[in-house]
Amino acid sequence: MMWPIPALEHKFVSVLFFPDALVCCWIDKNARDKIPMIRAYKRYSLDNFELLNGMIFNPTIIKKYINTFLHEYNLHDAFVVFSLHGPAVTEQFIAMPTATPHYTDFTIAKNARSTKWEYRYLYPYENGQFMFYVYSVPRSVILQYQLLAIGAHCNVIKMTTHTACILSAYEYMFGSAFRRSQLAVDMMRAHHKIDALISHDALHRMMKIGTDINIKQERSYLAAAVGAWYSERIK
Amino acid sequence: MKQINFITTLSPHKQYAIRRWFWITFFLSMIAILASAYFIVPELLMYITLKKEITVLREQTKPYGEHSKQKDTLKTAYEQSRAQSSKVDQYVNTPKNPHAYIATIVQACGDGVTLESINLHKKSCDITVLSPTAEHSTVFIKRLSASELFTAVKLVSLQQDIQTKQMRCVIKSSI
Repeated sequence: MMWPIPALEHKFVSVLFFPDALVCCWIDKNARDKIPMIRAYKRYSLDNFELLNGMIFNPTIIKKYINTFLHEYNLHDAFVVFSLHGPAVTEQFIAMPTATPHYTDFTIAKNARSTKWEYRYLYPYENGQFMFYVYSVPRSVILQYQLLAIGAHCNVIKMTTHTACILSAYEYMFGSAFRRSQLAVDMMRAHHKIDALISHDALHRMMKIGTDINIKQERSYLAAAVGAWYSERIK
Repeated sequence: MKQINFITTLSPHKQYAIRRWFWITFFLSMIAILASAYFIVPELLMYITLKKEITVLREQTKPYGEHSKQKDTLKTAYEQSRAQSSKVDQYVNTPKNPHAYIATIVQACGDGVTLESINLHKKSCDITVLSPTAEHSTVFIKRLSASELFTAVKLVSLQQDIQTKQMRCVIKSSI
């Protein structure tokens, strides 16, 4: 609630939407060594078409999952980031001959009215080309998630893609040593499979994870969660 | 790397700024209210006390109109009586006033002597009295002679009245 008394919590919760799962993760900075640590983590399986192709078909159950997590850890006023992953989000890595392309240079721009799309420069590619990450989301899907956030009384500050979260996590992993050329090398080595950028060893170095979490199984989710946390830099 | 956000929201920094603004505004408002109250409340209390006093005084001065009317009436009556008394005083103190002579004659009558008539002229007067005996008449003449107002007091006649069985005495004197 922002008014009359703005009650804010210095807490950060990532809510990750996957086609088959909903992940809620509370990350907080350790006061002693300033390393982020997983305070709470919960993955809810979505096996009954609650989410299909990124569209919310059962907002009640999804709202219930989110609220259960927030109530359990008293995170009503925490900052929340939604990360979307699935067929509703069209993502591409496109090589362009220029590092400063115009919007009209992208073919995705044709459906600009019904979709929200954007591009981000990633790294210099072979033969003088430049690799860009282009994403596109239908505006109706964004509205659905916004309504979900309103219904769940979440203080949502960001709605982003899973890939953007992983890229943020990658940047966080290297810190000040982050170089786009290194990203290019790693991306080519991983054959542009973005989830492969963050290994579970790297996750261990990036944050403290409780022993109750199976890192090998949850690696992709945890990487996205830490990426979302790093992108917001909540103090 | 540039961030990706599908929605336009208030960033945490702005939310913190709003919260700071809220609390600062709240505390400043409270301080302003307290400071205002420090100056206004005593004045207000004084105003309330004065209003109460005014009400009490108004209640007390309600019959002022009647009192004022009564006072005016009394003043008028007093002025009228004063005018009359001043007239009487003036009359009493006038040198040609026969009051002093009459008073002296009445005083000289004493017991048994009845004043029948007085004729006052400019410089003389005739007094007729009825007395039981001749001695009473003599005493009356002596008393009258003793007075400074009457000079040359003379007994003109002394006759016995058969009907009343008293002595009628006619006295003449200069004034």
